[in-house]
Amino acid sequence: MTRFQARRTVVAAIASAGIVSMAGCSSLLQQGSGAVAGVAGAAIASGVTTDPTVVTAIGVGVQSLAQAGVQRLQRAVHTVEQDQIASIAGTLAPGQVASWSVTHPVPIEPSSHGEVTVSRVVGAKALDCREIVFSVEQPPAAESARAFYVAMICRDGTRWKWASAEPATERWGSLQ
Amino acid sequence: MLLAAAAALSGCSSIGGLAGAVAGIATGTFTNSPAIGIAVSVSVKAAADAQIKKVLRSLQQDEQDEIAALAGAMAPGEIRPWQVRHLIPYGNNQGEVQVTRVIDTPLASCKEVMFTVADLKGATPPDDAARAWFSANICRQDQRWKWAIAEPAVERWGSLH
Repeated sequence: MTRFQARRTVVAAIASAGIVSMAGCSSLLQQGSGAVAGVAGAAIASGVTTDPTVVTAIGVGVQSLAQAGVQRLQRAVHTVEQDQIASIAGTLAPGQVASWSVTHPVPIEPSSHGEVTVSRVVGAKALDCREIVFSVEQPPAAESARAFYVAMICRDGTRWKWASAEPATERWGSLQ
Repeated sequence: MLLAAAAALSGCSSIGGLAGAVAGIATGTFTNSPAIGIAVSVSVKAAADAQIKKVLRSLQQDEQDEIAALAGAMAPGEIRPWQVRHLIPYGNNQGEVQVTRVIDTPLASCKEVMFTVADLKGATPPDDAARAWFSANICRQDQRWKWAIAEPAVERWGSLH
């Protein structure tokens, strides 16, 4: 077996080692999928050039693309959940309680469900917003059966959208 | 020794990359295949990043739980001092907290709170109005009061994510 063939075998072994795990550990998923893509990219590139600097650069570039893919997936999943809760809360009068639930085809986040209610209506001329309180059912091992959160939704035409803004940058800490 | 020096730095969140690099270098000496070196280094970085994030997240949660527990026992209009002291002496903050509104719904009991984080290095401003207040929500879960701010709209995630 030539050195090139041996390297390809090793790359294939790493790729199939099951780095991709959908258990919700998204940093590992980001790094894992990036590693597989980066390693595969590097292996393909090494066939064209023997310069190690070029091979490494191509590997890292592919990893950035894979990480961006995972981030896009996270955003899509959260958008579905936010839109669902907002549209249900948009139909409620203050004090009414309704249920919500989402199932994600790609289980990067666990499927979740809970209840939602409207606590306050906020409005001025062009502003039609509501403060909502919603619950998320927790897995059996968690401290409490349900976790509660407060958010704002606003009506944009006929659609209700999540309107909570990001925290003040002084509070970002390790979020970024 | 390199890791110990890195841990002493106040920029705690950049340790992950360094740990990954050290692991990559250590493994690279036994193989001349860049693929294995990169894969190992990246996996270690992911694991180290996840560990660092877990620690920083638990520090932040301690602070949130502290403010929430205090405000949970307060009525609107009261102002009380709060402080958090961690086992790891990093991010020990303090300030004041007040409850501005009670949010009572059939689903949950919640409160709107406002709090300050004291800047120990800067001078204390002479009057209350000059301090930076932040707003938050807390809700009662069983017998405990917990931080209850939901995530921002995805359109506002920007570089937070």
